[in-house]
Amino acid sequence: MEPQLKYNKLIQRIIYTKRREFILHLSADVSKWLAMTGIMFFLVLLIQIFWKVSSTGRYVLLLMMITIGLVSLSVVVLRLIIRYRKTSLYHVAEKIGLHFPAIQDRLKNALELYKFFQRNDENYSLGLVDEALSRVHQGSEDLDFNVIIDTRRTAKSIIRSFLICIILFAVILMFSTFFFKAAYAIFHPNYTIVEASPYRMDVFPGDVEVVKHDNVQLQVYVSGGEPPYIKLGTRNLVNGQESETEISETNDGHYEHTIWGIRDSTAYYFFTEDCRTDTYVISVIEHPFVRHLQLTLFPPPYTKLAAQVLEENVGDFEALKGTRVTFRLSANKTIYRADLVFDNADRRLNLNPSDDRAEGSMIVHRNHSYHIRLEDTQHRENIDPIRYHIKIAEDEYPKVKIALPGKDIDMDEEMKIKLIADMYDDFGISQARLVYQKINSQFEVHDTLQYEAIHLDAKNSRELRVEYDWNLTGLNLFPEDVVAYYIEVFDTDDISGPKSARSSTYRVRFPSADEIFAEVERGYDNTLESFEGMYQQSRDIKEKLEKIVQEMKRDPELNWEERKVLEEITEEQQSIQQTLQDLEKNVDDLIEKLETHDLISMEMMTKLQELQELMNEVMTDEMKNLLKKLQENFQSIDPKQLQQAMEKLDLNQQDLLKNLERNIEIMKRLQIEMKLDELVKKSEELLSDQMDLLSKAQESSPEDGETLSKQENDIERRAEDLKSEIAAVKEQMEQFPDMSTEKLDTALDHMEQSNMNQHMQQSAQNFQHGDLKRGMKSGELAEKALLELHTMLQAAKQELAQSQQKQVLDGLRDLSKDLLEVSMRQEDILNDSEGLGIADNTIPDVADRQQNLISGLKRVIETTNQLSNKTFFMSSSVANYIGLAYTNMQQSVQYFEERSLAAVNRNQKEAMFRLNDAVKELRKSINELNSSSSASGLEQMMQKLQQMSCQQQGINQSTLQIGASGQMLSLQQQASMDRLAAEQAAVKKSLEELEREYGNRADMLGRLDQLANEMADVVSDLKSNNISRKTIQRQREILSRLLDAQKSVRKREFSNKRQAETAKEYHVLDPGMLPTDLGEKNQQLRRDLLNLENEGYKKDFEELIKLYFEELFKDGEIN
Amino acid sequence: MLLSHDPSWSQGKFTIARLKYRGGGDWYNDPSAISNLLKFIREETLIDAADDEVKINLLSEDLYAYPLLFMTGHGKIIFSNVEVERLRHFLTNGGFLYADDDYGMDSSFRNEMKKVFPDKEFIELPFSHEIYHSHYEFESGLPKIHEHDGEPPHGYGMFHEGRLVVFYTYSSNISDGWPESRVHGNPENVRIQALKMGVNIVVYVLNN
Repeated sequence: MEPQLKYNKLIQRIIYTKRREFILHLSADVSKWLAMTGIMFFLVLLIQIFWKVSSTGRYVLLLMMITIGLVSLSVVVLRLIIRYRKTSLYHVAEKIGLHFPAIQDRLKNALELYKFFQRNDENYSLGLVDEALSRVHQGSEDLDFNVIIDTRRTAKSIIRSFLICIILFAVILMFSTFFFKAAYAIFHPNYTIVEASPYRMDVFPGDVEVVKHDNVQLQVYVSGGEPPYIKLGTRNLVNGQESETEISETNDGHYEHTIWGIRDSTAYYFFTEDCRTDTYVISVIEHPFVRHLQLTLFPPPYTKLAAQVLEENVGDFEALKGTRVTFRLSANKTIYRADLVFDNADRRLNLNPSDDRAEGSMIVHRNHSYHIRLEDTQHRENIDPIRYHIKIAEDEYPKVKIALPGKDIDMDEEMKIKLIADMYDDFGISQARLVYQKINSQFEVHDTLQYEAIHLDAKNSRELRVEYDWNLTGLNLFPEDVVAYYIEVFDTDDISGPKSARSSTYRVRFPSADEIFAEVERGYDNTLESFEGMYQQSRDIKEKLEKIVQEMKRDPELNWEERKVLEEITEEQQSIQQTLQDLEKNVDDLIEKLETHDLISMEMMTKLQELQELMNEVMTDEMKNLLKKLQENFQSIDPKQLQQAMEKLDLNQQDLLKNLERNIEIMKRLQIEMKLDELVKKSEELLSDQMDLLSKAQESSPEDGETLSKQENDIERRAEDLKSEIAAVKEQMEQFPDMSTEKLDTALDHMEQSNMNQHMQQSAQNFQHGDLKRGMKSGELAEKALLELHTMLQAAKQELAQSQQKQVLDGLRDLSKDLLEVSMRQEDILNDSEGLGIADNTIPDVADRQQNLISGLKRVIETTNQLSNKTFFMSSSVANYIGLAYTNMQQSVQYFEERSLAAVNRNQKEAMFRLNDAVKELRKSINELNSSSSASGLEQMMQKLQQMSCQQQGINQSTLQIGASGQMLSLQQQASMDRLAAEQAAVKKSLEELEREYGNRADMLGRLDQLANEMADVVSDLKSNNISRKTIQRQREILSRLLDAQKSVRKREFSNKRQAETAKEYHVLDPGMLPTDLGEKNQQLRRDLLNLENEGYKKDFEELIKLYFEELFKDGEIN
Repeated sequence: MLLSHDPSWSQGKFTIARLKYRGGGDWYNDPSAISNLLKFIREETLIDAADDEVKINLLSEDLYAYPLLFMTGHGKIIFSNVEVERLRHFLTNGGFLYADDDYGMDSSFRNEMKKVFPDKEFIELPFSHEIYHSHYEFESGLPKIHEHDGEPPHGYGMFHEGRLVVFYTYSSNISDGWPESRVHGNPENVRIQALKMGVNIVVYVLNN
């Protein structure tokens, strides 16, 4: 090895050792520095902990600490570096040599030697150098130079330093709060140190997340003493606004404060003197919510209701089924999703969101509850949504009520019923129909339900009153058939389907004429019976009254018993009065019943109405007033007045009896007339039914034979009944000698001789066997017999009416003549009496004459009574006037005896005037009687129509017989045809004459011109010997129309359902001003008076009439 | 006199009394006429009208309870002596009669009214009369509802001590215009005219 290398190696080893020593010394010094620095830091912390150095002081301390630390470290490090540098390698070598005796200073010396060699100082030899180096090298090769380092000391120093650090660290950890705080404070000299307070404050809820506008309750629990105050400090994290609020202690010993409706995130803390809590944060989050809600309801179109916009934010509603509902809402923020959630969340309706709005619609069909669910873009949902309710309102059922007739009724012969129905629905009526069913019929099986649509003028109206003329003629009803009916209406509900409702079910019955007549007869009999009962009762009352009147003449003071009897009499009379009113009403009902079914002639109706008037006059007004007065003042009336009242009552009772008797008599006569009327009607019905049956038979098939047979049997039965009734009426008439039964006898004979019933029976049998042709043949024979019977009965009725009328008219005229005679004689006697003096010796003669006249008047009175029992046309005032005249005459005779001539004259005059009044009344009665029959000439028209009907029937019959042979006509038959043609032409001519004569009554007779054309066609067929089915049919129709015409004449003079024709426009002139007297003028009367001469009255009557008018002009006579 | 005793007023509702008369005329003609008129009155005026008419005769105790009597028909009318007196008394003590010739009752009606008031005449009312203007204006007098004999319409009145007590319409047939249109086939405008005239009559009666 070269000396260089050896040198280097040695140097390396020395350098290594030097470095190692340096590092160890550095470590030891650094650890010392750390320890010292630690101690210094510790001391600084202690200073901070105990003296709470201010910010400036802490700055100083920190600076000092850093400075000292850095400086000391620098010093340590620099010193070591300097020492390292200063320490040469030779020093180290020397140290090594000292340490290793083997080496001693050889190392050093070697190194120096080499150094010198290199410098070439002292001229050392290489060999010497090399030897020196080699010896050292060899001698130190196994030696560790590093042992010269005092590691023990270094280690001790490091360990010591570390121990110090650890101790310091441990202490710091043990009192970490204080030391860390102090450290924080030292290293943050700006930080304001809060003094450690004796209080401990625990805050709730601390950091929290709340929903905007929620209320937040902040609490702090303080322990460790009673702070002087607690304040809450807040800072709005959005706008930075800060606030402090003192809060008070609660009863529970804590402090709380509520932030109401918090809007922004807020930092908060609590503090008191020397103590402050940490700062917490209230994070305000906003869930979506419904700000505005608007619902619009669109009711179903059929209701015609307008759309309804609900109030804002109203989600509950009630609506009809089928209503469309739109929902529009706006929220507090942008909506991601919006739904309506129904009931138990099993159904949803999506609303379309758009920014912060959403909308949708649905149609409601049933009750629901729902809430609105919103979801925002952060998928937060609305909290506690309101639950709304949908209620379905009911569309009510319609209502219908039949206002007219509104009860079960009997149908009249028009077979039409006017129905008036009131209908109501909450939204409208769409249709209505009449539903009916024949539920009882003797000839046909019961029908199923039938329907007729009822036209509604104002369809879909909510309230309607509908009139419907129901024509039942098409139902082919027979008498006693019953039809049940009701009206059904439907509403306009097209969501659930139209609902229907029905009215009550009513029945309409087709009564048979027999039933009605029977009912009327019963009613009439009851009325007559009541009258007879009243008559008897009145007789008893009269007896009692007479007794009492006699008693009162002896002793005016009535005892208790007599008063009781009087009271009873008064009550009985009043009950009679009431009975009379009721009976009058009964007759009214009878008339109405007959009139409705067209079973009464005009004349009969008039007579029944006259009867009613008579009933009303049975009890005079005087008697009524008397009874009323007695009843009111019975207890308080004085005996003398009572006696007078009783006497008056007695007299009136006599009149009552007379009137009752008269009523009974007239009712009995009238009953016969009614019966005759009834017979005519029944025969007419029979004839009409027979004709209808035959018409039907013509168009029927043999299968219908049974029905036809039943009908024929029914007609036969009724014909048989009619026969009995005719016999009964005949018997009744025989009680009245002035009534001739000849015509009824003829009718009965005819019924026997014509074999009417046998023909009907034959016809029924043939129909039953299906032999319609034969049936019709027999039926036609029966029809002919019925027509003849009908004609005879009409004649009988007419004869009775005419004979009665003639008798009455003659009676009235005779009576009138007699009264005038008496009046003239009275005038003569008056004239003679006026010239008498009080001592005149002719006074007895005159008185005698007066007395004779009284006897004459008595006979007239008797005649009057007899006549009044026969007729309505005898007004009761005639009897009254005659009675007054009689009284006056009697008084005049009395005054003759007393020679009070003035009184005699006065009474005679009065008697004369009363007689004249009686004559005036009789005149009126005669005029009325004359005008009551055929004033319009209807009787003549009727007669002509009857005649024509009979002729036509004969023609029809003969035509059928000739035409039915079906063979070539013989010469004789042809001649018969010609004759028939002539007869038909004659009937046609009569018809044309009738039309000319009564053309203004064309509405009654119908289209007679058409009938005449039909007759012309028949004439033509007969002339050309061309008899066909059509000819026969025409003839039948002609006869039918003639009979119908008779019917319409018998109805009221004018059709009650005249075809109304809406008026055209008319230009009307103003009539001008009202006359000053307003029509209340007496001059007209004078004009009437002046016209008397033209009326053709007899002179004496003229005088009477003049007197009458003069009476009218007197004060108090004219109203 | 009449209103205070009127049972229909005491129940708060006005009604019209239809007169039942004898003689054979159809006093009951057009049964729905009055009820329709009353309905129209309820709708068009403040009068609290009843639903339907009442039917009375001249001998009825309630006669004086109804201020307005109505009569119509096609046929004969007969008033007995008592009825004549009753009618006269009714009319001269505040009552009113409205008669409408439904075609055919003219001569009979005039004859009977002559018995009631022998000393009075029917006078045709001028167009200016209050009855044509009491509620609606009828400048040309009575409307003509049905054709009848092709005459212009006439409205006649009978007065007592200056008061109109009877109003008689002839060749006009107002009451035929009161039922529903389909009954007589009247066009609606014609019907309305008839009803309006009916209202005029009622209002006139109640005001006088």
